[in-house]
Amino acid sequence: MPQLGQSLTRLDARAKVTGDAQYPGDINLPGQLWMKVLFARRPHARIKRLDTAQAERAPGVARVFTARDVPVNEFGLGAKDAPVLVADKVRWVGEKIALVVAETEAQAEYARDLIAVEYDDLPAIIDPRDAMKPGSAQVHPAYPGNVIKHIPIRKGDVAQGFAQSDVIVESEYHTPAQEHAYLQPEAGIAYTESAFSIDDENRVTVIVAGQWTHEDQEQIAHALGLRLDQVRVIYPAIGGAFGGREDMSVQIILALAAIKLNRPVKIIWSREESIIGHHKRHPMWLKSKWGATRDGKIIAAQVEIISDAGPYTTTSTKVLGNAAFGVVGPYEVPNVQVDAYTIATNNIVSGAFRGFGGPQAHFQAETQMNKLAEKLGMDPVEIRLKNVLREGSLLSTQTPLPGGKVSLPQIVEKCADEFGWSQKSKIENIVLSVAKDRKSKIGYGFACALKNIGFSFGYQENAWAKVELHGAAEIDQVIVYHAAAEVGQGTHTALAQMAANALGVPLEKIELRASDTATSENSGSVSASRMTYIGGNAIKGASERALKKWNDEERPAIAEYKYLAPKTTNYDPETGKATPNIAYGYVAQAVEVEVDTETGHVRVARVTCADDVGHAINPRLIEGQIEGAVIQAQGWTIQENFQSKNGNVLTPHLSTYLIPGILDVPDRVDSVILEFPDYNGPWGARGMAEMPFIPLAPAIIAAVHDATGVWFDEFPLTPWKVLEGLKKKLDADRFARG
Amino acid sequence: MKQILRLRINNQNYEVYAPIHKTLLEILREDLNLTGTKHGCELGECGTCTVLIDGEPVLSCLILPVAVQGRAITTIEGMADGIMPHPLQTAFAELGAAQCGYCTPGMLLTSKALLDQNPQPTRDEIKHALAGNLCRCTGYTKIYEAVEQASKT
Amino acid sequence: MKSFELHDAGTVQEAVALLNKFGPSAKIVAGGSDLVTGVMKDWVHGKGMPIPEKLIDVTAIPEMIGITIAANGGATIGAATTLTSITESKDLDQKWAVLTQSAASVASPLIRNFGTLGGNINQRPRCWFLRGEHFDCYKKGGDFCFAVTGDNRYHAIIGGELCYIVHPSDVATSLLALNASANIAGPSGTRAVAFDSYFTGPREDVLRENVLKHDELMVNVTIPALAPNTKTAWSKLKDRQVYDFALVSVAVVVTQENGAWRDGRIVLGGVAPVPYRAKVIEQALVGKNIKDTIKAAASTLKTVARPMSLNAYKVDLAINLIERTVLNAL
Repeated sequence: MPQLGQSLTRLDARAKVTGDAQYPGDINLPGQLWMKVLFARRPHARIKRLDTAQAERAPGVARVFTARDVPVNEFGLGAKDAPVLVADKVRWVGEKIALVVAETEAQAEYARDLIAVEYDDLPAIIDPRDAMKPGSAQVHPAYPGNVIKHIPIRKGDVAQGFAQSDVIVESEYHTPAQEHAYLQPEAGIAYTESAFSIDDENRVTVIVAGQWTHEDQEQIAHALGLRLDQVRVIYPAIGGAFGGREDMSVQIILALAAIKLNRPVKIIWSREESIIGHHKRHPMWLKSKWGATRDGKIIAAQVEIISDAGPYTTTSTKVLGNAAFGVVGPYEVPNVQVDAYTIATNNIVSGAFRGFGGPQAHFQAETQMNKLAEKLGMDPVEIRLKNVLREGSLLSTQTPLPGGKVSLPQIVEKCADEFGWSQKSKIENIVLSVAKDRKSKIGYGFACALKNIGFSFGYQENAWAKVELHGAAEIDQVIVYHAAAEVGQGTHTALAQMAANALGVPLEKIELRASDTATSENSGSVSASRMTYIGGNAIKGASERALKKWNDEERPAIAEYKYLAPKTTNYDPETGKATPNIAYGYVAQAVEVEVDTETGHVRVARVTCADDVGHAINPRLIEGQIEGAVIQAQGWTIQENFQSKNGNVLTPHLSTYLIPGILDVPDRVDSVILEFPDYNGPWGARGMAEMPFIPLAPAIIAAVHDATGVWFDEFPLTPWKVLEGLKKKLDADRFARG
Repeated sequence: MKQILRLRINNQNYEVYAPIHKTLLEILREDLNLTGTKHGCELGECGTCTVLIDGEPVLSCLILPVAVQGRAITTIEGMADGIMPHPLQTAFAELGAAQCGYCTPGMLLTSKALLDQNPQPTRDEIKHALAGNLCRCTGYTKIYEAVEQASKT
Repeated sequence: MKSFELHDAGTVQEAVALLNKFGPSAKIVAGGSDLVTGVMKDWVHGKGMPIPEKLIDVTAIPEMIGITIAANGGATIGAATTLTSITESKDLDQKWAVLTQSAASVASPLIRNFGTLGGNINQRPRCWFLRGEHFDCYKKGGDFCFAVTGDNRYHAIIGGELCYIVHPSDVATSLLALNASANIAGPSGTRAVAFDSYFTGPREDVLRENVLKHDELMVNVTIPALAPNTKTAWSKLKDRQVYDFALVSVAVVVTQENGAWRDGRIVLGGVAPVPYRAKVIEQALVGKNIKDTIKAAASTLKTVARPMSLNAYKVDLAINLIERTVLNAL
């Protein structure tokens, strides 16, 4: 029976519905100690004095750790520019000052509050647009002028393009930060196998929730001065990630305490510690000028991006690369000029979040497109079909798209058809009387996007897997080893289905041994929508090799395979020319909204999402990703409102940072799954988990404009923002009428 | 200030000697190793720690266990009938209503309380009953569909 | 959580005796969704808002639980009655729908199953500066209101002075509209206080929000019968449909005579440090045809509103919501 295209039940479903699934905070070991972190909770300061004496004498305290206890006091995903524990200078609120380890959590907390720290507070550098001006105070010595990275892209000649344009749209956009708000706050437990000595064969094991076991292992080993084989990282069940677990949270500090104390050490962050202690989606400011001909052909796009990185790099340069790529949207534009900057500030650190720069860039591109359509009197679907990338089109990086079919025209048309876009005009702009005397206006919006699959811009993408076939005449048991993190997306199920399919066995015969650096080599991160594609190719390769050995009568038949994806190249530093990515996923969305013009409440009534997934390995898991991404994007667009004052977070709880509840969701989210195979994807599959996030914000903004006549160039669309916009329009209309 | 708590959880009696200021959530997870009940915010803002008290869903992170001595406490570990899963557990598993699974125990218990009181709820009634259980993965569609499926079995 | 002593009170007298014995270090707990989390688990304290050392649980006092309809048509609701019991009471819903609807709009079903009437009315405010660690504001015994210079889009547009919190309780808003009163037990017996004079603004005492003294306890709430031809309505606007406090809420109780406003109350939540009775609007409606007058009457809110730098939108919001809610009541 073919295993692909079947909505098989998730491998972890039983454990998750019975409460048996073990998340990091659920694991206890005999003799365990508890850790509490002393966070700086101030955005910019020098430590004048740090006195831990009283805390050390507090009841139950095993040890207090400070910067001088960390062998190589640095970490970071993109650059090792952040301290594990701060020695002198605090650069954001979530900076860790000290760790207290005690017999109970309450004792650790009590002792933490006895640590005396005196700070010299420094003025916080908050607005990246000011921070990049000459003469601004410096956030980090590694980034003179506070510019962490500048990426230019030059294609054609924009001046000439604008000169030839019949219409030009200029706008300034701002996109807000976003908190991941996975329901499982950071937690973990670390232990040593015997009395640990750095020179010995001993090992420290860290059980934690992350997205990339081997990267965690590398960063822990680096900071603690250990060899890689002295660090073992295991992921149990993980309560959501969305990019928020890509960099270090509790990994290094747990390992540090475990090797110094030789007892298991456990930590569970509170929700507030989680919100203050990990990165957010990058806030961005985008200044944009697009030109088009009368018949709707885009001929020039000029965009400046300023992204707020917070004080350390983490993934900021990579997110910037993706945003710079995404600012022309899924369109072929002959003349492009992009200048993208990521800037150091004392705000909360920014980093990976589902879409990875794509949502910010596309909000600008798709809103520009919708404004051009309005100016030209064209339908938003029609103008897209004139401009979308096709096979052979040249990207802004002056190279074509890989993988064969570029399905954007099909995706856009299919989405419009399934939504009923061409019929909507019949009911457009009716003032509905939903409740008594309630003035609601209905509006429709459309947007589309592309997103890269896999790590890009010169990174040699790779993933490892091993397959063991046991049995005699028949294959009785298949053991699959790989390191992919199951963060909830269902990757373990999808990978097992692919193994079963390659081997021609039912899913029940597959046993996964996953997410453990001691039994797997590097399968890479669950990010960039990459695991089905890159990890799937590794599973496919290992399965095929094992099957060949099986057919050659080897018992057991064991094969490893490391998949190496096609090469990409980084941006040329002057022109931005590049072969940026391995593969793409394509997506389009149409939405219907209802705007209460008296209260400013925006309700999304209906979303249709058409997504080219190449080959749907498990359609139900794909629907789950679409439905989840749509609601997460709706939250970002309408109600989630991450607020800070001078670098201090004002919304550190789920009662102030409002993720959508079940009463906030649309009446319908319709998933339309299309399958145009990618030549290099396993069985043609493309990655898909980020794509449905990307077009929703501009689609909602367009629908709200359709309903109210107001373009919102920044969001979230809280009543505050909506009423302000409606009022401005009313004033402008009055003024225009005299 | 410590005291002996007498709790009836999943039809079993427990005696716990614990500080008075520990919440029911902490007692379940730390003293009784019933870790199926999850901590999400510990401030009564997410629904992750939902348990049933005499069949009513409440937030165990807000409850001082002394207040619920002698009452019937149901956690996710007590939801199945022996090895037979509850129809809601089957529906959640089959329909993919659990992704990361962290909100799932709370979702299931709130849904159980609903179906026990109202075996054939409308979609609107399901949504209102589940309003206090937040989920960050699923977008909720598969969750209300699973409750609907379970209500038909 | 901060450690504390917990004392079960079996009767109102016992609870009052305990309050009296322990002094201001003791607080009543009646559900705990605010006190246990907001105060005991959070970092919300200051010299004007010390962390309590002793909690007195009143949820097992029989006379504080339940709903009684009196012979005169009024109702008495025990302060330890859960919000779910209130939302599910057919008696209350038939006569005072504004109360059951406001109770149903509180937080989430999971909170309402445990949260009580008294707890909801007497909870502490939700200002993000008050609840933020770094802000030593007036209410915590400090000497500054951070909302004046900071992000104040959720703060008071009416009646702010020193402190610009908004009162967080939905049921307090509807009870004031229903002209209800609270029965308070103290060392010298009980006293009844109409909600008209129950809530206190920052000018009277910035450290508290109502008249309850440290050794007093709200026992129950009485609601008078409505006059004939009286209708009610409730609206609450929030950023999220669950676990969210009101941006603006409106409780309307109106007695009509041939389409005209004879008597009634319009009370706003989320706009002032106390549930705010919009007398200026009521007066503009008295004796007039409601449908013809409501738009102009509602806009008189502008004459009493003093918005801050970022929250003028709440004035428009309140005016629109008042108009809509009054019309919904008819």
